[in-house]
Amino acid sequence: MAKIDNRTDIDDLVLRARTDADALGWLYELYYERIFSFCVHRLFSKETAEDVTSAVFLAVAAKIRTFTGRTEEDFRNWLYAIAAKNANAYIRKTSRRNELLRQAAGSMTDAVDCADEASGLDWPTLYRAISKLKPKHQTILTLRFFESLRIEDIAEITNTKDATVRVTLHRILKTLRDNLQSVSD
Amino acid sequence: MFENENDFKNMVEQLNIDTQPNDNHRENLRRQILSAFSQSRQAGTFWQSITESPLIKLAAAAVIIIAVGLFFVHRGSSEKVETPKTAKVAKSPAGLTTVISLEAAYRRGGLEAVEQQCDEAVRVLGARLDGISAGQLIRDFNIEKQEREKP
Repeated sequence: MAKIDNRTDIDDLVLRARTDADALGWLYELYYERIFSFCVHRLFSKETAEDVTSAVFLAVAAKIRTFTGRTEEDFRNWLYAIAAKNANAYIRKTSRRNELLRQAAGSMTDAVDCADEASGLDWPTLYRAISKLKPKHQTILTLRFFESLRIEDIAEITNTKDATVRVTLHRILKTLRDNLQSVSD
Repeated sequence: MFENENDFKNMVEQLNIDTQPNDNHRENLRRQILSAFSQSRQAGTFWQSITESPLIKLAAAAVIIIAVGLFFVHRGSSEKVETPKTAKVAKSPAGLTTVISLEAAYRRGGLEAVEQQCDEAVRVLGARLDGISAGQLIRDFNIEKQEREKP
């Protein structure tokens, strides 16, 4: 496969993907890892993340003809919006959420390798604290700090205003500090 | 613990979370989405041909406008036919009876029959007040009839 990294080329792929399977295949290759990574951060379990990633790309294949965006940025934000919706739909069931938390708790014993040395914080502990946030707040936090998206993009993905995202992020971090305190205790 | 957004971001970067995907899943999913895409393309061809062609869009709009226009024209004309004319004329039992009777005469023999019936009514009953009831008219008519039939 030839490498595609030019922004204009990707914009062209987005336009062609509505009718061209090859273009859709290229976009899939470009975004698979990012969406899978987002799902792992939202759902903790890699197996669950695979299921949700599948649902996301199958939805994209079914809806790409009606997608009205024209640029790579439009496509990426649309993709993340579908991923966020699917991840939230997955954990909406309490039983599934409990299962994810149980897995996170089970991983805490062997989480030393992935702990931040300065703070002593590990991923399972952080995930448990994040899980106590509202689903929409979890999405905003993940997009900002794990996927490194801009505030403007997060606002578009979550269908809110830029200023609202900024204020919400501030509150989320405050709540997360409290949650981490209670999880650690 | 973190103090601000930058602290938290640095902390997250230090966590080394395993997000390495499984190559088998990646390949299988690629096949699935391309298959789903081709299926949706076949299903969407007809509707897409309508929505994507400006000419077909225009034709479809014209057909809808003509259909709506014809519906209202037809509805208007049928309403005119179905409107009972007697409803606007007849306001009392006597009047209703008279109108019905005149309409029956018209159907039997046209305007000539109506005129004959009016002449006959005036001849038999004579002039009557506007407010006379149908019952009174029938009674008068029967009395006149009995008197004429007496030997």
